[in-house]
Amino acid sequence: MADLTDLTANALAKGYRTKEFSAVDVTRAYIAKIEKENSALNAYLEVFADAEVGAKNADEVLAREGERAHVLTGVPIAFKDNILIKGKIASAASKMLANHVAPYDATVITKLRACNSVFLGRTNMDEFAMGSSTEHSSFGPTKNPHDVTRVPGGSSGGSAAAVAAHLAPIALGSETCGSIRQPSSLCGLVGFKPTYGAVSRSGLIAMGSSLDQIGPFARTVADAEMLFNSIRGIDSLDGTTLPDFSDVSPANKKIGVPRAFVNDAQAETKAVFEKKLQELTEHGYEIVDIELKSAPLALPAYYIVMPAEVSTNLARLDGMRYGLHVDGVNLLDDYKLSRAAGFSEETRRRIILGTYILSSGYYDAYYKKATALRSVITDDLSRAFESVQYVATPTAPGPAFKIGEKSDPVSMYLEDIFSAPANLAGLPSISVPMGTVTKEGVDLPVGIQFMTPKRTDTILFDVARDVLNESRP
Amino acid sequence: MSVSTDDVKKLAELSRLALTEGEVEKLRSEIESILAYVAVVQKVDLPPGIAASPHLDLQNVMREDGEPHAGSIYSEDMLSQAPARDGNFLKVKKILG
Repeated sequence: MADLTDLTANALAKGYRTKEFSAVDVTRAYIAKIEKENSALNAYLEVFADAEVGAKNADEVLAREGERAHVLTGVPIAFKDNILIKGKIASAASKMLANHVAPYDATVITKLRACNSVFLGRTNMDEFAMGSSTEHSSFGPTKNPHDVTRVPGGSSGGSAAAVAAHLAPIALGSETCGSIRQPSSLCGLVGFKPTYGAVSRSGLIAMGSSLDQIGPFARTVADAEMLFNSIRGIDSLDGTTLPDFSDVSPANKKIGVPRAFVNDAQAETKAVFEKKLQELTEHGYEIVDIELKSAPLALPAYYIVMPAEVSTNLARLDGMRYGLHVDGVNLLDDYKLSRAAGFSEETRRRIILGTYILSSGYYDAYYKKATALRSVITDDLSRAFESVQYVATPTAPGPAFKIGEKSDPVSMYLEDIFSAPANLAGLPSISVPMGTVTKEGVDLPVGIQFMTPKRTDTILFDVARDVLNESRP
Repeated sequence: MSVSTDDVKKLAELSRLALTEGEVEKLRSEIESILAYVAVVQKVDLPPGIAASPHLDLQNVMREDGEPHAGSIYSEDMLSQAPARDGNFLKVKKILG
């Protein structure tokens, strides 16, 4: 029998039903592998002690309900450490919340509990999801399974490394700007950022509320699609969730490529991208050059909107209500010392930046302008979608970089140059492995990303399947 | 856009963050370089009639009035996370001078 940790989530579901193996078998196999390999990768911050209890329960459900059981019943899932699971620590990889126990379940967790899936553990991330390498975790960096001297990307780097190293079949991450797609690209996975509002944010520790969205990591398109379908839907606990939308079919097979924008990618990555586009023409796709004049402005606009929202959202962490408390001489001192001790460098940087941007006199020049720019970018993309069904770019400018290589903040921010338009416009986008680039003798994966209009999430899975030559489930 | 150390100290006050002198200087130069990167946004000429935000299609979502949950069933879960408490109150230092 093949190693259980090599099977996809869909294959596990099948095996449970043919009684080839049980959820307890699979969960034990994963825990044994994590015990052996996690110390080298630091993908998990915690493996849940009661994972096997969950598996046992799932086996009972499978025995009782058979074919009627949800496809995720008994399937182990890893969770980014900013998703609340009642009774478990949710730290957002910050010293501020190192001992913070979630008082309620996130909506995605409520949904997955109802599926009787197995909660395997919580994964490492950049503190409060701020970063593109998982180096900004307060609990040490996560390493890329393809080359442990390199980063897995971020901020959902722990989830990406876990799925890539077969320490979980599937995982959830969250994205504010590229934090699912970029680590998927760097770790060779399928990563999906849904339409803003497709998945509830209730119980996701907020970073940039107008941008945040939860989404899946998987090794196949079918698994990513299945996990997305299990967590999506309107939610009374998140007023920005959208009414359920039905699946649509692609109107055409035209892929628009914003050539001037794509030029910001590294030469080797661009070459792999061009080759993949060529292959897609053999699947009947037509490649069309398009203009997206505002696309290069998306990342600078993001670095105005996001810090503004960060400084507001993180104001709640005051050392009084929950989280770290450091005692000072008076109340003000308590605030200042608690926040200084709880937040690390990148988080402080963004709080200060956001406070600057929202200051009287700068608000109009920065925040208001950047918000209006979001409309310009959204309009530009809408115009593009009048003639093409998809817009494609490389997911990230290059493959995984070395740990410590991008110590200058702006050079790190540039990792998300291709991610920003989808987040600012609220569009769905998927990253799929497109090939490899060789660095120092190691083959490193790189991804291609596709965007489509809002609420057409499902057609991204069609093109993603064609990229991987994956058959329709 | 130049940023002074006094600017950073003021921002740190507003953000309720205690910073050392070394941290102030490092942040000063970093914030300056990030502002230089985003400065392009200020110079963009917006097309006439552009919406002030891309989310104008949103509408307020109201929840129907219904049966409220029983009193204090969540209090213990929430308060158990407080650094200091006195019964069902958060305990903090004196607020009024």
